[in-house]
Amino acid sequence: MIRFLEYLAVFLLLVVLQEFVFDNINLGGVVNPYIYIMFIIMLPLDTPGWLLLLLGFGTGAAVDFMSGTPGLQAVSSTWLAFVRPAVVGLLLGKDLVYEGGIPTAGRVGTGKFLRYAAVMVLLFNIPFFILEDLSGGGWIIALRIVLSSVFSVGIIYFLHLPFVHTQLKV
Amino acid sequence: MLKLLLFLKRIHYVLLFIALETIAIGVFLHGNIYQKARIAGASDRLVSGIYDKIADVRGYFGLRAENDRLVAENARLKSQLSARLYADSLPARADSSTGLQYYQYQPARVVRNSIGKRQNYLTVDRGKLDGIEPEMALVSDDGIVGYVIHCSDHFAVAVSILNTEEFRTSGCIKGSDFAGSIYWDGLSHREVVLDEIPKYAEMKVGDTVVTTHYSYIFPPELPIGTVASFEMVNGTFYKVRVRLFADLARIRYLYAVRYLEQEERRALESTVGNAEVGALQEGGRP
Repeated sequence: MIRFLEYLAVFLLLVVLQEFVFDNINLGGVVNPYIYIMFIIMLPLDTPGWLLLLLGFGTGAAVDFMSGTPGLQAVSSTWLAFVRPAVVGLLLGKDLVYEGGIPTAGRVGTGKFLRYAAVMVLLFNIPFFILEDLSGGGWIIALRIVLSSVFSVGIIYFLHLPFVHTQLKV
Repeated sequence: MLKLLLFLKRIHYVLLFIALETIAIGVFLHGNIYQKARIAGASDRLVSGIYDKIADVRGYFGLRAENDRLVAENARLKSQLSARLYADSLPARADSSTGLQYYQYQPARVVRNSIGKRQNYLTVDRGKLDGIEPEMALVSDDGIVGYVIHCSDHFAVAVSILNTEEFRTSGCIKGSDFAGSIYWDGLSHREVVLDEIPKYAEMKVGDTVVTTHYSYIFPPELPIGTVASFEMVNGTFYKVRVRLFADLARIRYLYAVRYLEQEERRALESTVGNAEVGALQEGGRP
């Protein structure tokens, strides 16, 4: 129960931060960080698949609701939850999955964590920015994906530092 | 049967993913402007309420700049007043119920605004109870900002000029009669495009771009921006990049404008099958 409340608090905090802080960031018209997906990135590694999918869908739907973009975030966030087990298996190793706990730079190493976060952010941003601007030009979309991802990974790394020494488990 | 159940259990992850993603894509594809407005309206009380408070606090820090702006605007309006009132060379209407006033202005404050997306909206803190209705224009003293699509009692959601899909209006180079359509291409929040200006039009960089008389929503001759650059397309028309006067990122106060004869004009023009013309000028909206 306590665990549940902790995750709920983190969830709410991220959705509120996204809506009131990060949605207002627009550097040079190309950098739009979507930080709330950190919730999906940081879920315990042994989270069951069905819960992961539901949470992925739920986070996206919550941000959609707040920002008035029906479906736009949910499409990409559900997709992100779907591919997470594969990314975790490939980049962090199967052993960690059995151990459970949240993936942090402290547990998996800074380099590995950054690589994991970068791949996850890219996997979200690629469908997201394409869907957001279906009629847009390829180059500008590519630029937005790359620059926004770099920015997002940096922010997610800093936001996750408080969790480095906690041992959150389900 | 058992085998089937086992099989379903094995692929339940993929099935659940497909189910959820189908819902999300369905909502995304069928989410039109009115649903977006409804969602924006539903999260209104929550989100706009908080933005309202944030705007309250931020308002204090901008008081001085806001004051300066208002004084400057007042001065300009005073100097225009005498010239404006009777500048129309046509005699006054027979029925003078509205007199020479075609547009009604009322102030509103922006409580929520985005410029970072492709489909940007803004929320103002005036709603139905204040007489705001869909299809009213939002203008700042620097020019057009958007138009209202949905109102709750205390708030209204508007399509920003920075909306690649839902914002279209007509514009022309000040002093010329050639009109084109104004839209945003999503590149910079300081620039919009004025497209399909006939090749016979004359213009130069720095010319002022204003709204036309064609719109059901925006008053005519409102400033939009200045010509930043232009190119000939296919040798038939000009595509002009217009630098906006208004900095949409910093907009805080604006006016909601009611076109008093909007209904009458729309009804009349639709009777002669001219509705397409009107709709075209406004970008295909009904």
